[in-house]
Amino acid sequence: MNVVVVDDDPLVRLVLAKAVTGLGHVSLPAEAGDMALEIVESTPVDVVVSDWMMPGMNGLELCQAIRARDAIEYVYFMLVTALDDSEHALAGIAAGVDDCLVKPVRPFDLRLRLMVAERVTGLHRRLAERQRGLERSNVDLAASARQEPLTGLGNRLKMSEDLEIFRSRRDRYHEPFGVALFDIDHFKTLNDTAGHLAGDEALRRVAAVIRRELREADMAYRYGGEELLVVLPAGVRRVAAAAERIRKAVEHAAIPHPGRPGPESVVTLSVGVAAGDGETEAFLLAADAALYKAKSEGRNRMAVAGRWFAVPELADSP
Amino acid sequence: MRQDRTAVAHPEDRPGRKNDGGDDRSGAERAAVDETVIEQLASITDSQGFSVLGELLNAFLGAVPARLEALDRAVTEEDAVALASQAHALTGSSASFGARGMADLCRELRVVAERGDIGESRRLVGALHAEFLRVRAWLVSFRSRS
Repeated sequence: MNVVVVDDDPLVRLVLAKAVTGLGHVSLPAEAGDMALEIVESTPVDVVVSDWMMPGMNGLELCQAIRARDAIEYVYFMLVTALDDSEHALAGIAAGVDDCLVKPVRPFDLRLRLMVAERVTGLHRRLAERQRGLERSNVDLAASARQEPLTGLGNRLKMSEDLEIFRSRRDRYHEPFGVALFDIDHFKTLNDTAGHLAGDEALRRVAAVIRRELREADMAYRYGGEELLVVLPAGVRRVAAAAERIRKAVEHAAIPHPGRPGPESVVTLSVGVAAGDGETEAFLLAADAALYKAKSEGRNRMAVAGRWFAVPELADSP
Repeated sequence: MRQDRTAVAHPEDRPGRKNDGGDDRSGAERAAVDETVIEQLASITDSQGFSVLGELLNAFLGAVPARLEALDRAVTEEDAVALASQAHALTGSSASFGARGMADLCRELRVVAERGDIGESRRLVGALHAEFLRVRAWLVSFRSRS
């Protein structure tokens, strides 16, 4: 163990340090409380053995300072007091001291107490490791519970949580947001012709293209079977521009679409865009209606809710 | 102010002690050093398993004269505050090396110095010098014995 030995008397410090070293530990001597605190803050320390009365920070204050730190690793604290100093011993234990030793410290006593300290710090260490593991798996679980496994995009849970955040930001800080609902054209034909695995693969590749086209603040979700939703913190013109950029990027990616009617047998998207005020459900309905409009007008195009026309000229705006 | 009792030798703190001359502090018949403390120190070893007692005793014997000189200076300068703090500092060191007589004198000196009694302080510093000679003789003889 790493053991900090704190005493303002160099001879007492020397004896304690030698005893600690002799017991197979690493001794880190300090002649004052603030020095000891510096060591604790910069080095992994298992145990502190500190005199009670020292100039400057006393042993109790040192213990309180160590306990006040926001650290997972536990520091086992031993206070050295005079034999009949039950008052300070009691105050020390109440303030977070783990053990009290009587002056002059006998090496054999120190040996016994350090054995106890080793057991206790070992328990704390294992507990801290388990705690860290739990926190990690909690974070992982929270992430995986919000991810759609095939596309790696967010799922419906993540979508509704994020939409709520977007909505409250818009209402509170007037930060606009809009949605773009994408649908793979003739997806049923793809599944029927090439099989569901090919359909899955096409979805995965479309999702990858979408992810590549997004900025950090933009979010994408698998909305339904072959429907993907993108949410952007922007007004309708920028949302529409992004939707059109994504539509083109997917077309250029030339993802095979065997069985698609027409000359080009690549995957294309239709997209409906909605932005502005209103509840999120109304937003999604409007985007869905716009998507339907884009489909009915011949697919592989965009329609904006409230403006029943495609706006290809927006595609070149930043 | 409880710290000043640090070095008082309590019977329950010294199980199996030897060379106990009783509670008569001034009695020259009491051994200068509590051998059980030195035996404890002798049990401390280095990483190779060798006792570090020699090193510890050298540190003690080397450090004390300077502390006594500081006490002398404080007496000459009639600096009661320095006397009290130097006496306190020497209490812990003496007790750590079993020099109970020295520790007791230090404790007494601290009380006297805090009272501002320079005359009595001078007498006690003199007694400390004498007691240290006894301690040194004891430790040197112990070292040659072991």
